Amino acid sequence: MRSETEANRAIALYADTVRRICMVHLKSYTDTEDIFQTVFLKYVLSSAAFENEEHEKAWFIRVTINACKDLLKSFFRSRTVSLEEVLPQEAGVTDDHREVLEAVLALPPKYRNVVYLHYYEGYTAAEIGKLLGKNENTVYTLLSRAKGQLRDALGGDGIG
Amino acid sequence: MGNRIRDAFDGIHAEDAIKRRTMAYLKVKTAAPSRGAHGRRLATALACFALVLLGMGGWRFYMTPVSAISVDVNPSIELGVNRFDRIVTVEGYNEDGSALAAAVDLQNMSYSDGLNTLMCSDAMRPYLGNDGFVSITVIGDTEEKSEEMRGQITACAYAAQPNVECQCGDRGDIAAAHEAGLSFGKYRAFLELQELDPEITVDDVRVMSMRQIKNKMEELFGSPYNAPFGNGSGDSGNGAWQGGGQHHGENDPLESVI
Repeated sequence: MRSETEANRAIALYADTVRRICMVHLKSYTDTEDIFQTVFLKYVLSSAAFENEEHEKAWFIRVTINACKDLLKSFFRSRTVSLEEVLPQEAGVTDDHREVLEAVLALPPKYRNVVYLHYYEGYTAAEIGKLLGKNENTVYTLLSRAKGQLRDALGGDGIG
Repeated sequence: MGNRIRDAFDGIHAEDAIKRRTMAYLKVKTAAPSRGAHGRRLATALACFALVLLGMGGWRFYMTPVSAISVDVNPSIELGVNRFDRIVTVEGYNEDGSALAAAVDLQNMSYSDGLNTLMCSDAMRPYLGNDGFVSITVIGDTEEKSEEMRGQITACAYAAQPNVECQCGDRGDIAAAHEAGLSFGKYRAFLELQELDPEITVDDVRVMSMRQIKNKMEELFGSPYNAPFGNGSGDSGNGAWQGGGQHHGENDPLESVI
């Protein structure tokens, strides 16, 4: 079991990543809090040894995505809320950001992960394939279709 | 547009409140169990243990015979009956008895149903032909119970047959009967025969069928021997069966559990 110091370090480093993935998948703040608890408890109890920070970050991304999927399968999760509720009401979120995020969250669920992982985290199609357990070509297809839909929603000023 | 997406996500941060609550949650989840938690676990363990004991006690209570029925033809078997009038033990007291006990499953049946099953079974049929004689002896935990059981059994169709008799036995005979390797029903017959012929031994009786014992009694008595065989409904304690009885209450296997 990892120490309290290690847990605090992990929260400081990866809380934002977990929060962003939760926003991509979940529609409720309560669910987000559940995912935080699940992911970081798993980390504390895990004996996995990480080669470097990138490896550790990939672990958090994979575990968070899986936890979100599990929660979405759960019968007891919160069902529907407005988009306003999903997006954090932070000072740093401008109208432009809000418009972009709303466009991303309006994509079909299978596109959202690849958009986030590719455009924000900077992973290649091959790396995303490894993370999500998908074929690299499938990731290319998903990215291409997502790009098309985002272009339609936000105007075609050179995505990618 | 790639930059717009990056910038948009960059504006998303985990709120301090959620971080604090997650830290607090981890602290609670990973802390050593408190004394209170220990107490609760101990209480739960004790409650489980008590339940197991109760279950074991209940099972033992159910499986304890308080009454018994001896069925003797040539096979001799004893049925142990619990407080709920259910057969909980079936034991053969000679080779034929052991084979019969193994062939017919009477476990957990009411004693009247069990006797009916036994009497109607294929395994019993060969012994009932050729003038076979059936003696059913009951011993309840009280005299009243013995009478009640005998009444139940004699009311059944199989007990109405002329070659079937039912009587109450004597609890005091059980230990001596088992010591002699006989069922208490057959032992009662031995005691009665011994009254008529003091030379008769347990070993003589061991190899005799109930029909042979009955014929021997009639031969010695000089006329049809009516007690207990002759009256059909049996004897509850005042007939010839009881008269010659010896009492061996010290090692009574049923008494020890009542």
